[in-house]
Amino acid sequence: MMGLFRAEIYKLVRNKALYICIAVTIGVVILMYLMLASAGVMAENSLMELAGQIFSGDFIPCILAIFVSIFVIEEYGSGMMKNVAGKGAERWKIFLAKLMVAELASVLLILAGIGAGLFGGWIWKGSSSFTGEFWQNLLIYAGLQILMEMALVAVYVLGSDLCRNYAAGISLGIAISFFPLVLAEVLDMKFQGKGFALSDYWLVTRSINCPYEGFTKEYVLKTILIAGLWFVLASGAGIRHFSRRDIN
Amino acid sequence: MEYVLQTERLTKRYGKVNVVEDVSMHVRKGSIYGFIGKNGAGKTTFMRMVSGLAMPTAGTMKLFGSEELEKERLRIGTLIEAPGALGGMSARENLEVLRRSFGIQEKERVEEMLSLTGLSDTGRKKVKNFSMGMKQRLGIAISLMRSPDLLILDEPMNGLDPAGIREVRELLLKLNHEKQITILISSHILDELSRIATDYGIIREGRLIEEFRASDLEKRCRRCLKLSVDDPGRAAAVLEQILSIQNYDTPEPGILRVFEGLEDTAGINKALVEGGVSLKESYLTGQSLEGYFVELVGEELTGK
Repeated sequence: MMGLFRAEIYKLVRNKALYICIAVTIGVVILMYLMLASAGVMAENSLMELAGQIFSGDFIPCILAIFVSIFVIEEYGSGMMKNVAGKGAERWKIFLAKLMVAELASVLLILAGIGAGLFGGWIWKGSSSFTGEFWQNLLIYAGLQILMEMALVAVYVLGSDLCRNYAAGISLGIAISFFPLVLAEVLDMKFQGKGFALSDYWLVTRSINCPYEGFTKEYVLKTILIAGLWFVLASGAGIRHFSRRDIN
Repeated sequence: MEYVLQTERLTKRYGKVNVVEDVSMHVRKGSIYGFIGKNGAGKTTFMRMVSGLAMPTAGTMKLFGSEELEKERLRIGTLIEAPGALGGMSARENLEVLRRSFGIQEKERVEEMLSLTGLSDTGRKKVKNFSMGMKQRLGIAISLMRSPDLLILDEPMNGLDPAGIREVRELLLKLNHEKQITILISSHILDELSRIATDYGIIREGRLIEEFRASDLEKRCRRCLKLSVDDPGRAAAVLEQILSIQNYDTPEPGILRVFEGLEDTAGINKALVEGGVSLKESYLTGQSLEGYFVELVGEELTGK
């Protein structure tokens, strides 16, 4: 298992897609700051809001979907998967190693986005905004975001393994980022007043609606549970599928 | 008899079609097993099942005499269809990925494989820029990474130039003779296959229709001395009475095929002339593996 993990890390480090996605994420954060600055609304936003701007839409889910699709599907496209799966390594271990490294890459990507947000905040708002309370809130906020995005990554890995084709995998990933978000909101309106919001349970909506401060214990626990549930479901389905399906 | 691979009625079905049907194959330890069949006959699917890439629909198999396939597959090296290598990496990096995946401690193993397959000087050149021959050699290097006891090679000579084919042939013979690696190899280049294979299996429409040894091939291909004579009756008398040859036939008027005493064809010709037979033509002939295959399959080999 460790061998498989090390091999995945080796591939990740040499994967151009990772660096391009990180660069795009940082670029988007900087563009966002420039946009806010040019609109003159920088003062209206707290540093926490600025640092969290990157999660306010479906940009992060989209970029994760693209990266994960490339990272997973290239194994099938190149045929590298045949070398490992056909040589005695247990299938679930192969899947898990890939998933773990995809998760690691996603955390790096998210941290790059947050890092760029902080750097922008330091440039435009100055170092005085970095208070103790800010760091505490950022820690919880980033932790929750990472948890939710990690669960989402497990869904993308499952989708990529189902498709095993770049175009289909990327399209499915982007569809997963967009479509359930809209669907959940439509259903929320339909079930309005019944004390139940479906969007609360979908990772992308929960990530977008995550508060910047005033985190309650209940909210944090619920988020951990929802992320954990999605992660387990997607990984379990992925392992099951990968273990049973032929490799071409 | 010790078998490295033994399958019993192995079957793979896609939808309603049996791509591989009831294949019972026997690959002897130390042999080079030539697996022959037309495109779409089921060779690759069979090899994929043996390698664990495809799940059989029915049937059983034993690897190295054991049914613990997961464990025994550690002893297999495969090159099935295209070599599985990441195009954005060099040959060295691809082998390094596998060295780590397999948990091979010896770092020099990568260089060893590059050197063995003649890829040492490819440096940082990315695999996507490799020629077909280089890719095939990398595929072989990949299949050898784990020092396998059984090599499964699906069309390893595809895309190679004559020199490349010779190199691969010599490499496979070396691996078989020096390292006692058993090889299961499919190829459309039957002439090449006949130079290395010790055993053969012929598959048609998913069914293994024959298994035989190379030593049987000569008999099956019926090597003979073909004679064109003016008087077949007299020629037959000379063969029987002077040369004591009984194993001959007359496939068409004026033509005799002699199946024995082929080590002294000059002696046969001399005896016929001295016996008053006018000899128009005399030559050794025999069916090639390809001819035999075509006869068995009943059609021209496609994809050659």
